[in-house]
Amino acid sequence: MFLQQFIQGLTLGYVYALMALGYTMVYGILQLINFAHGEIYMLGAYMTVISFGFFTGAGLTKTHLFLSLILSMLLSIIFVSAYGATVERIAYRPLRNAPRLSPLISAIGVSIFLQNFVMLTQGATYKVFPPVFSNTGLTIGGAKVTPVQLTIILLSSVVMIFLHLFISKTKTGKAMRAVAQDRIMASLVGIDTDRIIAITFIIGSALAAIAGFMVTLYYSLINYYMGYIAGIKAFTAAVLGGIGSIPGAMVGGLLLGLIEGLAAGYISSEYKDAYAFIVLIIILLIRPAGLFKRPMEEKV
Amino acid sequence: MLEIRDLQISYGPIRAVKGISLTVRKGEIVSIIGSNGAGKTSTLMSIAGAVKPFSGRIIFNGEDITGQPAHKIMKKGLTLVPEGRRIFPYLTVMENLEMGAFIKKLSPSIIDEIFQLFPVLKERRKQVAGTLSGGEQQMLAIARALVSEPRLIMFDEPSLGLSPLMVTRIFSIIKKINSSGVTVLLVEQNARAALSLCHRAYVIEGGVIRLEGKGSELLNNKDLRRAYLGE
Repeated sequence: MFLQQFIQGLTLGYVYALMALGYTMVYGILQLINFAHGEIYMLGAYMTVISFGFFTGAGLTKTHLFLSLILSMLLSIIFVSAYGATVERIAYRPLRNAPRLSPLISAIGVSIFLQNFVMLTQGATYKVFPPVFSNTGLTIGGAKVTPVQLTIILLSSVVMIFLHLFISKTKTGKAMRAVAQDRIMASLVGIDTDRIIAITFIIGSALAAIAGFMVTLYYSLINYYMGYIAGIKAFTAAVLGGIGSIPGAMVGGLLLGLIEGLAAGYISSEYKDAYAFIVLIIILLIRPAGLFKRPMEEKV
Repeated sequence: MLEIRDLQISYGPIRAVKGISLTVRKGEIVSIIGSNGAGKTSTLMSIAGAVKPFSGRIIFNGEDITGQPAHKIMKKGLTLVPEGRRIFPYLTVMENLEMGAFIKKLSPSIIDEIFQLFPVLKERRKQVAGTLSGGEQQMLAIARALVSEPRLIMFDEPSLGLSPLMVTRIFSIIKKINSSGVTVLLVEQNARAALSLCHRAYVIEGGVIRLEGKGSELLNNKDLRRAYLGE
């Protein structure tokens, strides 16, 4: 049972980690908790279902299932990144120099708007994603790993490796870190900080879209308020790792998934959603800076 | 090369700079001296584009750059070494230099030049910048400004918090930069050092210019000696 719950938790953990990265990157650069991030992930799930439905209608899924899945994911990434960039442009950028509470309230507004927008345009009922993967899977040490779980684990790992390389090696990635460390100084060395912030939102949204895509494959059921709980859990993961820290978000997401998976197995699965909040309360009490907080981060 | 006309800067209801006019000619070292809160840093920040002026004009090489965003002004060849150095603490020395040259490619020949001027940075190029000593951080801040190959470089209190030995080194480096053809605008509280280095100087107080003249003349000005050199 341990291994089974471990795999279950790991799968969820990767989804949380991808979402937590979006929270932590935006926080790192703007000190803003982007409460609309869960809704961006929800849009990712909807775009997956809509694109896949389109390919089914076109008859592509019968002949090229794998290709239609990849195309659905790519379409979802493109649309959702555009959403993310638009949200930043109209809801956050005009508040760049406002008190910190203003963009936070704006984020909550965006979150409510997007939920209702999707409810009105897509309906308030569940949307179903056809089960395209077999449920058999392979068995490791008595535990079953389904193809979807394997896909999630592998895809997320690859995405995280690319993200890490992007941030540590490319010029844009370094500029993102520079803007996060000192935005005014970054503009003084010639960095267009608005552009870098927009790129940060686009990357965060793309990661949320991938998370939404994977969850759609995993659960096959989506609805317009799925971003709420997922958003709070990913936020918890980001806080657990130390908000603002990228490795922190990765580790925090995986840890939270594992805690949830194991607690669901050994304690009770009825309280599945409560564990994240228990974790959140414990971190805030014991180590509010999170696991990966840099020692000299204190901003003046 | 740089002309400022009746510059005023406000922070909410507080007027920090109340109408400053000054010129910097090509090849000069011009310094602005004055006590804390006189408006020196605000002036430099608004020339660099980080603070929007309330009114007035800033003209660089014949072009009006007033109110343009910092990253655009920087591309015109005007750069600032800010007060408190403001290196990127979690980037390595090399990454800081790369950011300094963000608008272009960091060419190996510039790196060589920089490392010749600051050998200690070469030794520490892979080190995280926040772990450097104060003097080394100041050198990195200057190097980061130089890699963009500016035509005019502004220094805001480069001697702040440094040992006397290091101050002497930084000033000799500023002189070297100037003799290589870069125009310098220097803001300092260390009036004696600034005045002996510069060609011309402005003394500002309470957001307005009180005195201006050649550095050597101001060094012998009785009022100024009393106010800033403690005599």
